[in-house]
Amino acid sequence: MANNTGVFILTCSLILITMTLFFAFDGRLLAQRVSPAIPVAAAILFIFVMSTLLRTAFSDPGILPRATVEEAAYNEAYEEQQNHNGQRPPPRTREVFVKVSKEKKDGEQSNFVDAIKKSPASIIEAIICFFSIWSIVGLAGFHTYLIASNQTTNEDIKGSYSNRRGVDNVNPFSEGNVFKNCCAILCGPFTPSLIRRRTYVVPEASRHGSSNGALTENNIITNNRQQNVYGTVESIHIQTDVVIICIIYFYL
Amino acid sequence: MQQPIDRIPTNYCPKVFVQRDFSDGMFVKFQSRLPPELEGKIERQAYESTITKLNNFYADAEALKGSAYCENCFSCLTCYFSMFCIKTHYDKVLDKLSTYIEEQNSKVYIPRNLLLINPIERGLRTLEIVILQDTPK
Repeated sequence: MANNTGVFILTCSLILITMTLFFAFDGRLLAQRVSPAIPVAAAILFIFVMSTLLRTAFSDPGILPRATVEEAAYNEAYEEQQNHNGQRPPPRTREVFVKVSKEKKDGEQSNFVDAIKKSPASIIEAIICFFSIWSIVGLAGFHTYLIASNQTTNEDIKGSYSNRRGVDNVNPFSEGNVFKNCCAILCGPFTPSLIRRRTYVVPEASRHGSSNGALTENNIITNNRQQNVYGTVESIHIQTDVVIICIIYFYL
Repeated sequence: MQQPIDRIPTNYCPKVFVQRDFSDGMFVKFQSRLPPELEGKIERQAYESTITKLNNFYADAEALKGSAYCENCFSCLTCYFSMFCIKTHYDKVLDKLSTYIEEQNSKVYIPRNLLLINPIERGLRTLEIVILQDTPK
């Protein structure tokens, strides 16, 4: 969710309001006149949509903890030495999305013209439904294509893995075939979060008492499972800065 | 002589960062080649067997197989409430892996003045190996 908590609450309330209205008015009528299966199916779809929405909202999109200063320095030295020998794949964040299924509300009237005569407003509803269904179909189709090819929207739009100038460009994330990609994305194993979202953020610098614990740009995030700490550590530069400042103050 | 692992201070020790091996695909796998910094500090075979074991753990955790699909579909059927009660396969493997790393550390690496850091603490990006030095007491 991050900064978009408002959007999440809006989505939840829109779904809740429409479903409440459906169950209070349409659902009751449809159960009596057509079949009680309709509100039951709507309830199942509603629960499915809400559970996938909540799971998406509360799962980590794949944030990596930042490298420690030592690691970054080591990698720089390593890369310079290797002269970009090892091929690194492009960084990516996996797009998470929710498929919102729309309920079709068919009246099963015996005569279509009679129904329109009874309530002319239904024409407007039909027009709105006609146009809105296309956006749903379009989005569903696009995302099905993305899943089948195991790409993100960004990679697809930029054409990261399309062939350029006759050079073959293969998506390294693809599992090989369409079905395997679908299985991997829709029912693949649950990967763990690499940051510890539910532990207290402890600035380790202040724990060690090396400075006043004020956070600056030079703090790095660590993720220590053994000590159950997800926090920030001051980089070595800051410590030398502190030492230098101390020396300056000493001489003053 | 032997200290609990998390009390060993590693702040100013030299470190070796073993990189991920992407030659076979995007899954988690570390390079099994012995880094030049560790030559003479540990036998090549012992090191390679550790890395292979770690890679096997990750391959098992990320394998696309029937049980993984079933687990995912089952938790979807329970509206993901089952995740509150049942540990995922990946987490179980990670637990096994961390006990394995602890065991390897106490048996093989700490006696040779080395220390493996569990890659999950570095976001599965690198395997950090600390070269422990004698610190003045």
